[in-house]
Amino acid sequence: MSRHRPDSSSPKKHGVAPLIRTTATRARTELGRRTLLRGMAAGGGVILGLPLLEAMLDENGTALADGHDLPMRFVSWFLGNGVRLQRFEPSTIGAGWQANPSEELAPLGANLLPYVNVCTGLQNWCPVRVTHHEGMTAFNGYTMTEVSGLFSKAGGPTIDQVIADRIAGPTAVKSIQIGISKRVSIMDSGTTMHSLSHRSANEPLYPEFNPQKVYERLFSEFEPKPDDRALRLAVLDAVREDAKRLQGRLGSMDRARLEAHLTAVGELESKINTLPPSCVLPSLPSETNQDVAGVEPVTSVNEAMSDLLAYAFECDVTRVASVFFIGGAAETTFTEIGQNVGHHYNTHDSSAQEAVHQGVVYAMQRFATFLEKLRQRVEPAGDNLLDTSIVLLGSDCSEGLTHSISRQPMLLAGHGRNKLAYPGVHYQSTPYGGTPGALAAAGNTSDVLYTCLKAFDPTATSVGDMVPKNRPNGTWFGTSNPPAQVVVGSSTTIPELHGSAWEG
Amino acid sequence: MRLSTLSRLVTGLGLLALVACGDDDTTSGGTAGTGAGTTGYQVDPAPGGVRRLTPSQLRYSMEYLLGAEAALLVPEPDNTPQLRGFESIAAAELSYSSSEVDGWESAATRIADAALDDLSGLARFAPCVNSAPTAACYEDVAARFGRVAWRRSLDDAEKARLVAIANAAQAWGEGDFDTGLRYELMAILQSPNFLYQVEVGEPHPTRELVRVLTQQELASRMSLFLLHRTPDLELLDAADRGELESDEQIRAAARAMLTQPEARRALDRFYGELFAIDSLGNVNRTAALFPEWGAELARSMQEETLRFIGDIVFDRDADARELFTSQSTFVDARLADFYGVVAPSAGWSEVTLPESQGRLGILGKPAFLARYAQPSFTSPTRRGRFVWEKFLCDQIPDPPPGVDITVPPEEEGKPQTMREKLEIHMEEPSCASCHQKVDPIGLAMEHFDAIGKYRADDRGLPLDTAGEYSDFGSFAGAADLGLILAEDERATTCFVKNFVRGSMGHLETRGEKEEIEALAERFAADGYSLRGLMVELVTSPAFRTVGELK
Repeated sequence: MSRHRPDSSSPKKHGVAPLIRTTATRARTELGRRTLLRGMAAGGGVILGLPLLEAMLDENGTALADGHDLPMRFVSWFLGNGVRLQRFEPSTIGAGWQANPSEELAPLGANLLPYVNVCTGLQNWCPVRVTHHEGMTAFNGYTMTEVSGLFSKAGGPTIDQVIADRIAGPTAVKSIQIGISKRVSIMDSGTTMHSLSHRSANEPLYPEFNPQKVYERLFSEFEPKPDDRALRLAVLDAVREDAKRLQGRLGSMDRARLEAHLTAVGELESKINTLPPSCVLPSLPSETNQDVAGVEPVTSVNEAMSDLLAYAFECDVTRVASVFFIGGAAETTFTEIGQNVGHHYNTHDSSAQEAVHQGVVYAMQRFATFLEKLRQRVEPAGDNLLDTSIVLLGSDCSEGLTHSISRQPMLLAGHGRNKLAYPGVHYQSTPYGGTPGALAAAGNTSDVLYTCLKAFDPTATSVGDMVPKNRPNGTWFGTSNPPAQVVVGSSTTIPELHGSAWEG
Repeated sequence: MRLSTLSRLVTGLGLLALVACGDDDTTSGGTAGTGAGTTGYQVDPAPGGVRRLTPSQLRYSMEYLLGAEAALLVPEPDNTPQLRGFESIAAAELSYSSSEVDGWESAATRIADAALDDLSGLARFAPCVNSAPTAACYEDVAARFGRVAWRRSLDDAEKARLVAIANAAQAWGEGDFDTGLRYELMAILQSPNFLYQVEVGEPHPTRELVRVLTQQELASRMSLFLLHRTPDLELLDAADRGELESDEQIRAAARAMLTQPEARRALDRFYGELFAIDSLGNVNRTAALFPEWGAELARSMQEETLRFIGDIVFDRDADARELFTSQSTFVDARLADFYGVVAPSAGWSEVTLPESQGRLGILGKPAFLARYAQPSFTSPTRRGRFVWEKFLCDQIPDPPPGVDITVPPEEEGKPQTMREKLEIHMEEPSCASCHQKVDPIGLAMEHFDAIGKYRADDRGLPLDTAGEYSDFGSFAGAADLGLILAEDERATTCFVKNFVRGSMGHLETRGEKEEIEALAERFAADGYSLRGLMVELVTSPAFRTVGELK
């Protein structure tokens, strides 16, 4: 037997939600939601509230009138299994490298190349070697933990999460994790290889591979519906209460897990309390990332995800994202460009390096698709989204053929409101030897992370826990003795990358 | 010839039954003992605490709680998180992320709506939603539905909090009863008391650092393992009455659970995960070489293997070593064509596979053979590793960093067999120690191509599937290997270890070693009944107690 369900499509019969929470946290949002209820269908999207107007900027146009900084965005973008270094690293060092881009950077095209800082010749100092796993530390600077066999967990928060903690501010979604190719490694275990974002060893933030679910996470909160926020928050209060009671009965590891749950509840509460965005929301994408006749729709999924991210940034729904394009040691085959052997498998095959190159070019084209969507959206102050973002592209190794973590490729696209150099430079710490076997490297990949972090937070003091110069075999670079002063993590930015507005 | 080997094997193993322990009931009594007694060892149980319900446990629990429509609304992750090959271990260690908590709120809302669309699910536990939909019913829902959702009785404060939410929602909904119910359900489903399996127990009367699961906790642990869902009302009632106390009571309850249809589905999920065939549809095979490969064939292969296992365990309660030795399988029309056997007139039927293909048990099943291969060719290394890890519970180290893990490419016009190509891995010193252990096992299966189809030769090159091995003796091919595995004590113990990992969410610990060995002996003595093993496992002190809280 069924009765009618509560009418969740029409707000007319619902009054003001009862105040069963403290009014203090509610006051700010009432007005916003009334605005939201005026939302109306228009074309494919839904127009909500008011667009971000110039009137909302301060007189210089450099900050919001309410004193907040204009938003900046950070994205980490992952391409597993490395590149072909000799076709990736530009031959020109410093400024002007764009005049002669490498084959694997050329797909970025004339509009995007000026936005790109290239970092080459850097050493990842991870002291533990598993294959692939250690390369993932280029995104957090922390040695993996619980390593056994092909198992490991992340040793510390990834840079996107460190930055999210600082810049998420009033956004509805603190950060979003996106996956493109579903065919992740089946031989590796643990969290390291299957997620680009981690908050701690037991808090991987796994990517979402279905664009419709990404849409839901980013935008469905703002679809017009009756204002039941007070009730939802009351439910979450009960969840908190239950979690805290449970915590009291548990050991330290489980208490920490429940604490992470409570943090997530807090983020959901913030989302519920957030003012609806001032923009036109996208419509639900039709792409769901299902194979078509056995072929992964990588191109189409990347397109849909890139659109969603561009919308999300423009609407200021989120400011931080990670994009897991293809995993390290993944089973992905680039069928769409006629390949029939897995990309990772090819990287290990010395006779298949041309196919690897084609795969990297294909991936860089997808990366360009994403960057171009950011570039084409211009905010009221005149900057496009790429001007206001920093996008870190990296991999889990340098050359796929050796899976080395010397000279891991790193790009920084977008200058983050001139915090980074624009036009971009090619920073090279060590000259390239010209062959896959000659992978001299110095410097520190964590310096790139630290440079990114300082661009967002000039008060930051370090990133990661690795000790530069400590080689995996326990010896010290250039000597058998530890250096007089052991430096843990990176506290060094790369001056060549500093832009005109650098404050670090 | 193969079948006679099997029967010899089974007869020979009868001996073991005599030496295995009898019915020494060392664990009975109110303390759910810890294995101390005539066995001469004590179980030091693995740490207790909380575990997340896995995605399939959430789904099947929802089906029991609110019906099939509601179950469909439980989010299904694209890549279900696993640690060490098990969702259950991920569930014991990983936290809920913001996106999961956010997504679950949306799901809980939709599930509540589905429950209101068809009240019959909820009415099974709280009939008042149909018969007396007034505010007083909210208390009933909290008490009755809350109890089955949270797998324990709610205290007054918990009930009061839910009722307050329902009342507030009803007021907001201008007196609409269902609106109150909607938010009450959302609160019940979002609570950690629903989302986490609590295994905290109570201090053991005599042993420090050991905690005895409450009977409600034990009911949950049993049900979430054996049925992959929340314990039903009858089991909760039994726990509340104190009827999950003695070994015999627990055995009886477990046996009863194993007669329910959900038990078969739960074992499907267990083996679907263990053998990684749940994700078979996700593998690429080169279309030019394997035109028949596709999602439909993959689905048929998955179902075949699960039917094969289900037949052994549930239809016949047969010797589990048939998983290694049976020459029969189940086919639909697509697989009949694949194997070259007569197709069933409709649906599925059992067939005996042609002796010439040498397919015995799982090692001959295309779901396994296709899962562990590369897009264009076989992978003896992956197949060998699978056997070591999943059937012998032995961990194979990884290739050292920076070594070439590919097989050498063929020169134009000079095809080579996989054995020839892998020789370098078995000789190169940095590769040899592992590849010598792994590859011969996988090479035994070279008559099966990258989608598991039988081939007499490799593009005209003769195949040599023989191997010799200190651990195993010599074998002529995959079929021999199956017979050898059936006799291997490590494989017997590995059945137990895999169940420990899957049911309790941890790799077996030192403190459980003797108990696992004892369970393996009892398993062998019991004619290798996997159902018997599951019953004995849940009765074991390792299952009924926990150590320090993690």
